[in-house]
Amino acid sequence: MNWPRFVPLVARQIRRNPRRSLLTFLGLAVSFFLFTSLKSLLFTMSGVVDRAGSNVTLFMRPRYGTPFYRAEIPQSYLGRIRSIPGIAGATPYLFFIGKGRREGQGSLVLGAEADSIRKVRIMKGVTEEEFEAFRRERTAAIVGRTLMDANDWRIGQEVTVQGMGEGKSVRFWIRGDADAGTDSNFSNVAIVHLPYLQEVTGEQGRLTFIVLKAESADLAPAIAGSIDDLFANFTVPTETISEKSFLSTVIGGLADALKAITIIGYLTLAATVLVVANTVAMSIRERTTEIGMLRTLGFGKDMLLWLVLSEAVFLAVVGAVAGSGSAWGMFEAKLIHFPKDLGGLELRSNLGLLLESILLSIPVGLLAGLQPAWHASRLPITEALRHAD
Amino acid sequence: MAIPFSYSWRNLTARKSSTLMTTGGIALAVMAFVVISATGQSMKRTAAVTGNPLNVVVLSRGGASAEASKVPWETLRTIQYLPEVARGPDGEAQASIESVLVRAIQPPAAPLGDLSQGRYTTIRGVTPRVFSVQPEVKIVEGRLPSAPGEILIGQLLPSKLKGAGIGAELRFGRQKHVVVGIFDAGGRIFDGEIWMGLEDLLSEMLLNEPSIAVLRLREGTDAVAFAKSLEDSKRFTVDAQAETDYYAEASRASVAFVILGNIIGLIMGLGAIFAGMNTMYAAMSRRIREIGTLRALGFGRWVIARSFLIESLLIASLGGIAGSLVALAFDGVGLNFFQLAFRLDVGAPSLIRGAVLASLIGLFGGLLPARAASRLAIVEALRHV
Repeated sequence: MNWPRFVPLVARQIRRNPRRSLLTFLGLAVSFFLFTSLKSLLFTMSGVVDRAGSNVTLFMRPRYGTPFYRAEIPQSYLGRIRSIPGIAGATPYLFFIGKGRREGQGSLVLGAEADSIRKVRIMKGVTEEEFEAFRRERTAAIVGRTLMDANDWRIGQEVTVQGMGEGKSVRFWIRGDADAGTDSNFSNVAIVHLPYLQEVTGEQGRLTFIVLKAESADLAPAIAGSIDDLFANFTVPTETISEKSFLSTVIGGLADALKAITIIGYLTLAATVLVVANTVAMSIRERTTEIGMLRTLGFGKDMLLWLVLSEAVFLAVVGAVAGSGSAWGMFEAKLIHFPKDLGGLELRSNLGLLLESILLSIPVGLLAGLQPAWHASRLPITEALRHAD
Repeated sequence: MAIPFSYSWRNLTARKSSTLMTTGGIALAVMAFVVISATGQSMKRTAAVTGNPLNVVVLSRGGASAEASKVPWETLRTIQYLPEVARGPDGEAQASIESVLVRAIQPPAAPLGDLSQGRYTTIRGVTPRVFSVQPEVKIVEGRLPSAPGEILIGQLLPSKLKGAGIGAELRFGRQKHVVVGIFDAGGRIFDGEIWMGLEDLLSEMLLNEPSIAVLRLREGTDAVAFAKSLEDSKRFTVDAQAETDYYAEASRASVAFVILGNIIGLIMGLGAIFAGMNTMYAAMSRRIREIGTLRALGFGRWVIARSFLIESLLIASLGGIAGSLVALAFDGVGLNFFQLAFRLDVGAPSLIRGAVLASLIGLFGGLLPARAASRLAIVEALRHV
């Protein structure tokens, strides 16, 4: 088939009724914009696990009892864990849940060990100078950018976080800030020195959980098993799981919502098929006599079929490029994100998604054009020539 | 003189395929909008019906949630005998002491250790007193637990954990737990929970203290004022909330669905407006001579415009009705959002919102074509080929 021959014909048909072409284009662009946006939303959610979750990083928490953020692990466990072969590093955390600036908003303060935290976790956005300033000063803190913005804090400021109960509070000086975003481990917390937090809260010798790094992902399951076996008969038996498993379960809680988003995305495409099909059918109806003329001039049935299909596909692809392209651009430019009240999660997209959406416009166009194209190609010449709308 | 309604209706049937395709596009937009909007409404409703205006939830000071709270036994023993707390026929205080945990629980058939299939579920350790503060909760299948390791599940739990039913074994804590009964909490949050004996849960999870107490107050007692008096009291170090306020927090997640629903409705609606406009412009261009004839017969510009608008609204209404009917097919489906399980209630508020969306699509989709049709010059229209 000589495809280039169709190009001027298709272009002419599109220009024939500019208003209809424009409205169809707008309808398609809007639909593909929504489709790509929903796909990007799904991509962001699954990406949280893929990007932030690692099989090398392990969380150790009490197997039974209170929620993990209220857990009480004896600090003595840390030394025993560090002596287990295959562990590249282990860092302890103590949680302090304080009040935020607004009613109902919380501020999470993490007590951490300056010497071990960077062996296990990446502190994105924290410069060497900032970390050094933090390391040297007992009451210093590194605060995530999201938490800083939520409370209007700035580097160099002295801050007091009031506890949720019992009248305890933690005071610290902000010496550095960690990046915001899903890639950052500390975007929404304030990190202070563990001994300082233990002293202020009266929780000496107590940890909330321990994060470990295995030397390799292959070793991680065996290490997790060894740790849990080691503490099985202690006062606080432990449960050690990979960061990826932990995040997968969290995302699992959204399974129904994600399924619904997927369905809506494809419903949007189904609506798009109807929009294009309607446009092409209207255009064919108006050109019935012309189709008869083309057949008389020697255009075969197959050629007419492909001509109409090309028109539908062209419309769909142009709409997809505009709609999906603008959605991708808006996500890339970080113009779209969750409201801060709902976590402020930064939404992402990628070129693969854009390409997928554009490629999907081809079957959408083919599907939409199939019936009108078939109808046009099968019109008897005499009937088509006699046609008057 | 008005153009009869049947004229607009017949025009729709005269171009069936075009009407059907536009109607289909509108139906899909309305359906998606109604279902998402109903999801937000159902989450809100579940939280709203769970709270009883006569119940007060007592938590430890600073325990922002039941899960994070630990109330000492001595405090609970004293609080439940305050004069404002109602008494049952046996003279005992109507107070439910509970331990609340949230755990990722795997469906019974999931391979051991496959945490990706785990679903966060609330496990509530209760005593038989729970039925006096939550009288709407009824056992609908099976029986109450009578031995350690036996549990009750809410009627919506099987929608979250496939295979969970009477006789199924769920793994959490130190042993397997057998489901011996299913309860119906009448659309309350508890419908997606696991209930088991309080002592059983405390020993299973190596806990010393329960999480909360739910107190049923005597008729006429102001729950909010009583909760405040508990918080202000120097005798107790507790936080207390009227149960209605406590569960209102659970509806926060519904905000996300309302926002998402509005955005999707707006975007799909916009697409449907363009499709509707296309159809109506096509309808106009096919009837130019007819419009000229109508004008020549004395029908005014506004009458012509109105007939086009009616036609557009008719298409949108058909799409709206079809979309709402499809959305109604999802009514009653069990959904989960983290530990919150609820039934989708495609009720009047969501359907009304869907109808408003359909009307807006019809109105905006028909406005410009109607204006164009009404402005056609009579002579030119009559000469049109």
